[in-house]
Amino acid sequence: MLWTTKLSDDAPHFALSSDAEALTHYGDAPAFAQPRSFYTNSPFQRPSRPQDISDVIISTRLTSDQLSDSQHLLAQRLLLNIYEQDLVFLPKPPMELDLKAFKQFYDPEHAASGKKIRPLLEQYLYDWLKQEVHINGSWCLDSFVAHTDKVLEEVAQSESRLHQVLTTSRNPERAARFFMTQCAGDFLSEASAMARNVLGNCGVYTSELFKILIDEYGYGVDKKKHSTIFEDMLKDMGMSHHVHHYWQFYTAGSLSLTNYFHYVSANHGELFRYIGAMYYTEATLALTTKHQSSAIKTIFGDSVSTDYFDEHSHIDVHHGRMALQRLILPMIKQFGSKIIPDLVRGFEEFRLLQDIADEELYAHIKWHDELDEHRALAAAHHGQKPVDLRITEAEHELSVPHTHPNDELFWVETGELDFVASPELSVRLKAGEGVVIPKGMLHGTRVVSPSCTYTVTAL
Amino acid sequence: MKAIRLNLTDANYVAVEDTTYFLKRHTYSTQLLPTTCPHRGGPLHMGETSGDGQSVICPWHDNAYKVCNLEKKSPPTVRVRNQFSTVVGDTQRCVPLLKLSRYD
Repeated sequence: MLWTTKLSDDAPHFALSSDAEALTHYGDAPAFAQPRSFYTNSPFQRPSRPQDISDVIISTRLTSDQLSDSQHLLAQRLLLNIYEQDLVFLPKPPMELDLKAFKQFYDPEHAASGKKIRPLLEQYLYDWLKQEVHINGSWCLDSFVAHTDKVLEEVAQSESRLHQVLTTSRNPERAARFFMTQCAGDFLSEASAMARNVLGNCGVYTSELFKILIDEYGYGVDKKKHSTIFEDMLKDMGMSHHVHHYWQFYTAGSLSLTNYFHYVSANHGELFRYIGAMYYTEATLALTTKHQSSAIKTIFGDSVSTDYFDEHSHIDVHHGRMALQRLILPMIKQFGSKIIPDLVRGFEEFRLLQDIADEELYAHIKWHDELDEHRALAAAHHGQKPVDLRITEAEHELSVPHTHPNDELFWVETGELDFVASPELSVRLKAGEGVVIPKGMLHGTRVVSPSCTYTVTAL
Repeated sequence: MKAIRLNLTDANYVAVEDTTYFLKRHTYSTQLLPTTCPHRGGPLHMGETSGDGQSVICPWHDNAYKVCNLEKKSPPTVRVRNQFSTVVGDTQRCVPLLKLSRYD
């Protein structure tokens, strides 16, 4: 049975009604429901604005100029949940285990609905990479090494834009904490995607993959586990170390990095793409974590331990070498040059996704720095165009952070609300005040008066 | 071997030493294919594409060559957005060309 609506001209695909039902069932989970706070107190709460879910995310394909769309963020949030239902999470003290929420999060029928829509979400989220990354021609081992060496050499010789953006922000500590927030979604369950590739039997390669994995997991010593070292760093910075405490503040770009590794790891036919992506990230982390460590030291001095970044700038030299010498080169020799396009594709796709996520981070830091200017801009724009939407909400009503595909004028007509741009930055807007929200910038609101009416206008 | 980045904003051809290649741009691929027909040296870049899009037909003798086979004789390429790079021998000279002088 076919779904009755053709949803896109350029995608001659119809969503099966059973797929749409699975999406609806999946989105209805308590984990995604409307929260009372911008911060979660359990790994099983992942507010995701289910009211925004539409069939678009299972029946079309995102294009590279739609990455600021709210549907992109929504689909990334859902996909990470689907992947993370394969992983085990428990709350850490002082948080107590909500057994009901725990069981609900791992409910087999709910997980099965997620599994059903997973390939469609993956197609929606990552198919555009095929248009942006072309790998062609005749490859051999030497040309693979020449190409990747050149890319890595350029990374090694380039100045760290992250260091510059963080340290020259108008509020470097806030900028650094927002950077850490973006890292938290991945680093607090670090290397979980990698673990998907150490089961089965790939001969000697299983053992090589396992060696990298046990480094990440601290050889069974909890305090050495990379996620534990990252938790310690968050605590030093006065941030929460609980898994997905900042769930609502992950950008789509940050989520796309974590999800990409799950995507190429959960689909084992993409093993060589995974190996290529892993090589890029391990080899470049050895370089970029030095700059990250330096930025944190510059901003926080000795009050924050940089062990997490220092550990990576050390161990990832080995991991990059191990990925090339113990995995990639022997694999090419054993299986032939036919695996090289996938290796290069993974390497290049992850590089592109990382660049996009970095640019998105820098744009958010700039937007946070310039929030006052955007408030002044709102006053200048107010009344210039007819409003698109007028909304009235009751006290404590919370809008889970989201994005828009265009610049938007947000204006409070009556009442008051807190406009939240990041965990570190919120402003109270009263009647007659507003803000211009640049496209793609995360923001949420919470009403603080008995009721509040505000308008939104696309600019 | 050495990797080099090429500016192909306006270029249609690439020369690696004395061998020339023409750029074939598609939605999902950017290929460098030899301009010279392996049969009698005809101008393959002037050939039409077959109805199924899988082959290039030499204008001299109407021989059809599968693109996937022509690609096996082409340098490896990577295009990410508007950046294009290839890999050639350490001593080989590789330059983008706006046109081929042979057919000026």
